[in-house]
Amino acid sequence: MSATSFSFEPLYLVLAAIAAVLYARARPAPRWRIVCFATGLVLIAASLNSPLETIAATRLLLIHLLQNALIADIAPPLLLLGLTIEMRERLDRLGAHRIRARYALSAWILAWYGTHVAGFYDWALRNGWALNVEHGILILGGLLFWWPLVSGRLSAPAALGYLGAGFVASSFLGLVFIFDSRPLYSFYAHAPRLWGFSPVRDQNLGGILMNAEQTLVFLAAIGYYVWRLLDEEQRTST
Amino acid sequence: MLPVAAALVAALLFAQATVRLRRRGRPDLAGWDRAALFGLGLAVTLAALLGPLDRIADSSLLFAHMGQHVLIGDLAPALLTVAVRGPLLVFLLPAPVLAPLARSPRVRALLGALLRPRVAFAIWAANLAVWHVPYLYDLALRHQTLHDFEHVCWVVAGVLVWTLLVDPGSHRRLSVGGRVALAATMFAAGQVLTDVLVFSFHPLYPAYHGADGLSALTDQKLSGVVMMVEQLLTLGTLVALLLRPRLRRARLAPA
Repeated sequence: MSATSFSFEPLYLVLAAIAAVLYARARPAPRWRIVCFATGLVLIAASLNSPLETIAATRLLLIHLLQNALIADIAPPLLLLGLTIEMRERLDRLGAHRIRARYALSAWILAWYGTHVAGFYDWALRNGWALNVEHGILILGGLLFWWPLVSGRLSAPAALGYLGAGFVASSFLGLVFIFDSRPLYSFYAHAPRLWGFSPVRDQNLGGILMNAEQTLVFLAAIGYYVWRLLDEEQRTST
Repeated sequence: MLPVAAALVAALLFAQATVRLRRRGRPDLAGWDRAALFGLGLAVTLAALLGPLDRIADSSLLFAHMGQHVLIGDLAPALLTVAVRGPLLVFLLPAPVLAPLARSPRVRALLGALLRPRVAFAIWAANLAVWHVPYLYDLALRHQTLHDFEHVCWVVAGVLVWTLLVDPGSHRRLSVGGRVALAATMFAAGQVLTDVLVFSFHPLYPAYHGADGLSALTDQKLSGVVMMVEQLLTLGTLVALLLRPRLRRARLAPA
């Protein structure tokens, strides 16, 4: 198998298809929500069924971290933004209203760091099904983290505090990848190289990518809530 | 000895403001907590400019130099503006000095212009960007006068933005949301520099070759982290304090 050949991961393809069918059967959503939901699904399904997955599972940590960023940080908020108010209310009735911000934040942090612990990461890479578990945990963690924000239960100040805490708490992992001068994962230390990246360079680049991606996502979300705060102030003053 | 002289003048001005306010029967507006904050602000400035940090910053480690800049341009202005908020700010200058300044249309126009949020932020961001251009950074290291001027720029730019963020004179140039927005924008701008320093694969400042077991590149990456951590602490604390009353109100409001 070539290093850049397409992978086939039926589990997430089937799950994405089921989500798409359920979404289509619900009451029609505005176009922008459909685009958000579809983009979220495509990001998950495509990043796990493409050369990204092949390179991530056999060669480069950098690509694995890119994949994780796509499925854990970018796809979940898009999927949740794609839900209409009726869909969110339905999820609330099914128990989503019990998800408190502090528990969601803790679960996300736990998922983020837990899946990147060297023992778990190496084990997941050596067992195909375990890699699916890792990806599932990351997607679920991302959905949990973004739910309190997208469900609209947090006020703008609370959302800013929540995002600030999330940004700070999650940034250490990227910094470890950037600064560590030894490969953290034995799988990648012994994996065949691609594009001339040494294991340490690969790891440093992965950390840079992770930090840059999180900075962009979090600053965009913080920017939105700062704008809402200003908007609320303006409405109260008029 | 310029920093010592400036700190001495600042300490004397603060002391006379405290005494005058207390004599007027308002010790509550000039408490020991304010004196401690002001003293800490001056101590941070002096420690950054005169202590071992200055020697290391000038001779061996970029991250120490970055630490020095964030201390004099961010933490010290934050502490000093918080210390003088309220009537203490007005009492800081003796009446014979304050009155002509307050009456001068030029001084008022200049301060009014400098303390417009967009102007103050532009000055702060330009200062941040300009002094991190490698050529200027190295030039300042070679010429003491330019280096001193650089430090003055950091202090002035820091005082301008922190005056808007803390609003010590209750001028309400920015609402609470506006202050949060300014803090977020400052963090985002600082993050751009952080990313350049942390994500670069080559040392950007030829004057630094690494020291004490740190390579030049690791030193540079650390300097980016120093900037990010310091901004997170100062701006994060400010935002938390600004938003705390609203969070409390939201919690107490009936569901």
